[in-house]
Amino acid sequence: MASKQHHYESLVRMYHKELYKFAYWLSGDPTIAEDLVQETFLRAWRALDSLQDENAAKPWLLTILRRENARRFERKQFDYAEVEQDTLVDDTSSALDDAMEQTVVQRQIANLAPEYREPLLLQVVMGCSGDEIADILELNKNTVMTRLYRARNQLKDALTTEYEPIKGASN
Amino acid sequence: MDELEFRRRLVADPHDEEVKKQAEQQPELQALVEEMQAFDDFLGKSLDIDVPEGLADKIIAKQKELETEEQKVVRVSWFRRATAPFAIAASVFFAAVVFYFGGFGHPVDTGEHALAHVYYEENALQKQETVSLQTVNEKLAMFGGKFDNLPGKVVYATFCNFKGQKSLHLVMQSEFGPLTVFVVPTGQQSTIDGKDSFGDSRFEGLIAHNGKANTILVANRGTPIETFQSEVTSSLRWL
Repeated sequence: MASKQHHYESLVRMYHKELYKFAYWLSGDPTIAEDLVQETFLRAWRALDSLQDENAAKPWLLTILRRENARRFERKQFDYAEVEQDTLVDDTSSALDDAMEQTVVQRQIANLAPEYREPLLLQVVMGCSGDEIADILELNKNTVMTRLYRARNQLKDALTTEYEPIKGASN
Repeated sequence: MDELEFRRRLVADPHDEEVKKQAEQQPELQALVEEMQAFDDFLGKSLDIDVPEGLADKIIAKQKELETEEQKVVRVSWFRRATAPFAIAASVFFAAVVFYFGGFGHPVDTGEHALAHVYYEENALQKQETVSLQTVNEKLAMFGGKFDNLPGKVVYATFCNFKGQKSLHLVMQSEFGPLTVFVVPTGQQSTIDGKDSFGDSRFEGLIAHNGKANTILVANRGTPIETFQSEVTSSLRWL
């Protein structure tokens, strides 16, 4: 029992930050993100005995979180895309140019179709490999790599078309 | 790999080892790799938002709270058993009722059982103090279920033995008076015999069959039980 508690706490400390960021970008809302992470870990606690391999902890937690997120959509059928625009945060950058670019990217990420956004978040935020993403999303690896390619290309395009005029106007 | 393949792989994963290796041998590709890696760093920074302070502690506290809650349920029931011997006598009476309905070689009718159970815990129908949805869900979580909302104020939530199956017994106050709901997980034995509605002179009830459990609703005659039943079953979720 004590070791189960210990195991659980170390999982929470190791993964809660990444999972929160992932949930945030998935849902576009800090409150929902916190709820998702909270619920994910509670379910993880109840099912902790089923986690045999420590290396599988991250994909296991991500699978629980994605299922929780899907449940949210079963309950509420409205579109979160609008919400995402309003709740974007931008507090990490000091230089104005950087801040602008980051805001553009943040908005573009919220606008990416979910099938492109999710693999990209798993790769950039969660540090998952192509194979891990394929497992978590239940896709083959080629599909994952194609989606990652398209996601980055779309973001790059958006930056050059959307950011340049902003920059031009400020000069 | 050819240049097209190289580009596809680089854009899909700027830290692809084979791509990096190839770029080392072809310096003209190196700039491209650096550009994509810089873009990736920038992406990473853009997505690196602040995590609420103390989130880990909050998560751990929540789990401990849940744990204590579950232990409390066990402690209270022992306390009751030790201090209220008449409860044992009542149980014997209840067992006798069950025996009367079920002891003659055919299974106890589920509706009769639900009614007997409601009468047995009749004082629960008078309760007024609210039990939070969260408390209900913490109990229901032991069966892997969750209510999104409930069509009334919950005043009683406890684990009960329903025809040998551990089940959740809820009482809600509605504008039509108290509603009793039994959530009975479908174990290996079939506890439900297919009859959907039942009643007596005072109560009427409905049984809904749901993948992982049966929900049995009992209310005063004249209550729109169909409406309540569908509200209850549609807000019940399973893991």
